[in-house]
Amino acid sequence: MAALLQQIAVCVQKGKLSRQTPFPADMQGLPGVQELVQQALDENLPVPQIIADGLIAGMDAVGVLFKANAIFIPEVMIAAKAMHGGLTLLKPYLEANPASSRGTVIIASVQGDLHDIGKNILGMFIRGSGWQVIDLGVNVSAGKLCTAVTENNPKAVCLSALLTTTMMQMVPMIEQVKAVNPNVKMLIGGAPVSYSFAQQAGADFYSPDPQEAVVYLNSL
Amino acid sequence: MRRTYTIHEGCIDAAGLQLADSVIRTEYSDSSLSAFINSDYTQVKSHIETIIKPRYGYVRVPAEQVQILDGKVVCGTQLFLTEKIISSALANTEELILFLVTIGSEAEALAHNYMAEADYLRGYLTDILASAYTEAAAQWLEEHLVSEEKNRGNTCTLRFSPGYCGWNVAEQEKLFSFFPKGFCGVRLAESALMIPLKSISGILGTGPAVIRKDYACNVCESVHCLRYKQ
Repeated sequence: MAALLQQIAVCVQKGKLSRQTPFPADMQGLPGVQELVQQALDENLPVPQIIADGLIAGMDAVGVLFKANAIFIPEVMIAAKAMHGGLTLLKPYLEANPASSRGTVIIASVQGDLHDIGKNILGMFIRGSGWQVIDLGVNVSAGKLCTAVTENNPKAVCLSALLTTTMMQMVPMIEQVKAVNPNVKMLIGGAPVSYSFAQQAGADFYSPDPQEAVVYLNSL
Repeated sequence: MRRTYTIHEGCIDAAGLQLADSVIRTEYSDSSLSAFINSDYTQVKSHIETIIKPRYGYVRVPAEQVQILDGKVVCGTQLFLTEKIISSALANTEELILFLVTIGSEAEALAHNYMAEADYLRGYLTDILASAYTEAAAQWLEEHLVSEEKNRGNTCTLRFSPGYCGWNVAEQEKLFSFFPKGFCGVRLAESALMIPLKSISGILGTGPAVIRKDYACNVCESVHCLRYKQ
């Protein structure tokens, strides 16, 4: 069992989605995440374990390598796709057992900001760490965010902005979410955001990169 | 006031495109992308070239309406609060050229589609390549203007955009007040964001006594700028 889960983790890390995935060269023709997750299901391995010791373990390794500059965003994207392939197979179970995730995190680009690549990358890391991610998209108003917080009771909200103008939207958004639910942790990030701005804005955490956000979330 | 607007379409600066390569390749210390990433990169690049629609427009503000001050630039009825890096680079400017460049929204839509289909690598590559093509388009316009001005006996400064070199991005609104509505197919959102996203606006100065200085990146703290500490 452990060997199979480890294989899944390695395939996620290498971005080996399926047998047809042509890379890495030394794994050509070998089963990928999809086949191995299906095998794990066929062998009745507990789904939480497939997720924790297979998929999440693989993405955790990706996060460590990324943080160490040993791999870069393209490799993270490939790994995320492999992870997504595995999660898709497990979706029916996850929908039936929402408690199997670490909890819910809402992510959004703030009102006035249409940039989403940074937010999407963050979402991949968080999802890869076993959280259920609700992506509200771009140009998200405080009202829409508060409604989502009320409906989904997340453990945390991550806000992203790419401009100094839109960054200022974070201040009222944090205030309003805290008014709705003071227990929700507010994380902020994006090119113009800094530690000192996060303090002024009343955020719980400033994350300069996705991996630090994941480490913080996992500590909650 | 009646102004003359100039519009060009479809040009990209070939040298500027090297930036597209550098954007992704600089991350790889051995200068080699994995075969798979390289293959996707090449395919995405070819695809983007067939769908982008570069458009360029600019307007000249004559010398009598331009005044370069310490950290500020008087431009017609507007006062640009550019900060010192830009105002000193614009020293001796007589005429200001206000420009707008876009590659359209097609590449943006393509990146969204890839992401929605969980093809994250292609989504990411499309986004960064689209940014690089936008920069290459702006580079083409700058070189076009440099050449045009040279024929008039003038030297151009480098180009400067709101959001860079200390110039607050909120000043986009003042800049856009010089352009007709929907100029080059670009509009400005309330947050000063240009739509399509893959657009660049800015100014450059021109005049016979202008000295073209390099960007003052050594004194700038914009760590996310493409040219930071380049």
